[in-house]
Amino acid sequence: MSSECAIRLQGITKTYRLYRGPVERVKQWLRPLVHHSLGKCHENYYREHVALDDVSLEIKRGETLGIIGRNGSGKSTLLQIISGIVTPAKGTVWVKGRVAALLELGAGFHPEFTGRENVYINAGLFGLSESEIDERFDDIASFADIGPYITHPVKTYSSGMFVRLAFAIIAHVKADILLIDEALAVGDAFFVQKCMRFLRKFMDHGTVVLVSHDTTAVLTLCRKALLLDQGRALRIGEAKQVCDYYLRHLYAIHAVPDDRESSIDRSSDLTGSLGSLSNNEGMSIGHLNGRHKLGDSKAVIEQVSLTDAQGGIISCVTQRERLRLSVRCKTAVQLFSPLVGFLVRDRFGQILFGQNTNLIRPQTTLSIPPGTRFLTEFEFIMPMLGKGSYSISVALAEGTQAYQVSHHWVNDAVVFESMPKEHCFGFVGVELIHAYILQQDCQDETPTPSPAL
Amino acid sequence: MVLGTLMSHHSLIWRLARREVISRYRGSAIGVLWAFLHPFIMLTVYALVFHEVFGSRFETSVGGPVDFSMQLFAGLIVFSFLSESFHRAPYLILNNVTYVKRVVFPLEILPWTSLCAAVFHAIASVAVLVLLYGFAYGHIPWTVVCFPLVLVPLALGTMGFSWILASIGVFVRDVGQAIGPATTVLLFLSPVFYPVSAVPEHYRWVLYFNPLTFLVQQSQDILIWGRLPNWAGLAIYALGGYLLAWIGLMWFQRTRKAFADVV
Repeated sequence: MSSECAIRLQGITKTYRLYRGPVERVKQWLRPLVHHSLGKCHENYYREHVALDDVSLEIKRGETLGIIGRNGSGKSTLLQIISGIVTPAKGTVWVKGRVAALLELGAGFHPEFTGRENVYINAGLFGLSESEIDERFDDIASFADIGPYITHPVKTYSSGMFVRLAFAIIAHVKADILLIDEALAVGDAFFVQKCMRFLRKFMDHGTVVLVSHDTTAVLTLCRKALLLDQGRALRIGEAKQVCDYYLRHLYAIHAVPDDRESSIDRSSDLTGSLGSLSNNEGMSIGHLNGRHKLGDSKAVIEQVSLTDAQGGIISCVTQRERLRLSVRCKTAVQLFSPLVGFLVRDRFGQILFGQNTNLIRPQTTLSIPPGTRFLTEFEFIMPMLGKGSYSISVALAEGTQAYQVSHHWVNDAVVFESMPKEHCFGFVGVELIHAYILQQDCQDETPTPSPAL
Repeated sequence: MVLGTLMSHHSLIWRLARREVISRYRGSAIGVLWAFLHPFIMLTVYALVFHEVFGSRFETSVGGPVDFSMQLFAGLIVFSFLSESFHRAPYLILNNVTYVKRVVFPLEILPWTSLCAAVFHAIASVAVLVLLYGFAYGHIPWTVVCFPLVLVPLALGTMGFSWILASIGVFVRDVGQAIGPATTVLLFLSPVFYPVSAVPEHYRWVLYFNPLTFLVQQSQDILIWGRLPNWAGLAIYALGGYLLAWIGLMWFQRTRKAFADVV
């Protein structure tokens, strides 16, 4: 039953014709006529934009698919095609079951109508009869939780209220397939929690397609993910792998304008020396952060390693422990006041913490002669991190904290896993000194406040 | 098929149409009463102008005991019905972009909602006319009950054009601008301000070519002269109207796929 197919897309291609103005459009219409009568042919009056290029996809019932990609990669168009709002230029769409779509903010509300009327219209569009909506109206109103605004025209709503009402409706229409586009980003934390609870419950039997450029939402909700890039399906598979690829891909693209002239070639031998340090598949080297211009390859990071206090290579952290990060560099020029730093990121690219040599003690007096290799060591207590993979980026610069010239920046120089022994909620674990449950005796039943408390 | 679109979404159409009528009078103190007050004022003005200012010149050309303004108004009801729908049609899709791009919406029902609003206004006008007629002459022609029979072919034909106009209006915005002069021409080429008999013989074909002519005459016969409608004529018009509506709907459904790409 779970292997039943809910959505099947085959070779979906969508092209848009972009006209410079309405006159061009009319000319294009008349083109075949002119072609017939005059026998000569003007070129097309439009520019073609390919929004989706041969995307095939199959989603089984009960599956949750996340679609990620940069802006303009065709995510929303794909969702519009699945929902039937947009017809593809080529390819077939096959969808089984009642589809409820929450596309961007609009959600198909009529701005002049009150929230209540929009509930009736919108729910009616999903095939609910008047009496069915009557039955569910109170539930919808309480889910949206917008109070007396339900009787106001929706044009007076804040964007948050818009989404709350829209989500409340699709949560109550008993759909088989939910299509959600970036909508969760708008509500406040309480509402997002409510949506998450609903979605998790819905996923037990329903199919969800979620579009987002926030990989966190995709990772927490979806097991499968599709990465779109310029309308093409670049990757499809396990959400984690696709998201990892996406993040690296994103960084790679950002780095392109800067690393044209130099030093990508260095990455090959760097990978060689660093490869032995860690066998994590997520490890990569040579992606240069775009914000740090690598004007010269005069000084480079040659090797980075993460070890425990005894010098053994670490690839998995299980508790709060003392670690050593060693950074070996080589300089071709005289380095005045060198600065080495690192950043630890979680799998979403979020920076958790970082340090550099300057923050501890400014190395203003230090000067390194050309042609020498030097070693920087950071010893620090690794906090107890939540389960998952983390990466350390390392940078070599020259100057002070405020003004510096960056020589080399290596993203994901070291990748390690965290497997906390104790259960760890959230991003970091907290070390518990003690935890008690105390029973406090209460003499009389009446809740009179006692000054002793 | 044409009526299928009406039946399968009747509650939605009803909701939207009611909303459209209400929102037009929103904020005004007497609200929907304006729908009746408006024709009342118009009819009074016509009566004043044609009776007191132009005087007998028009009376004689009509050749009846009834005030010319009543007859004029009976024709105008037919014209206004068509004109109201035509003016709205090119903007139906453009003003409801969210229904095109955000949700799966049965766009083909939008002309129905504007038609429902037009029907409401036509009924209000007829009510005012009948009331004033009764007040002026002490009796009401019983043939008034046949008025819906005039409305049926008119509504079907209007729907056909509305679907086509709504569709073309998405691609060529000029349609909305062209509607104004086009309907005015239609008004003056139908026997609303003058009887057919006032037109020189060799130009009359223009009037008969105008599909509104027959319906305007029927409306005047039923509402003013107390004559029975031309059953066969109305039946043929209803059939033609249905055919037109069918063609309009086909056109609309064929072109709607491109709406989302354009708006």
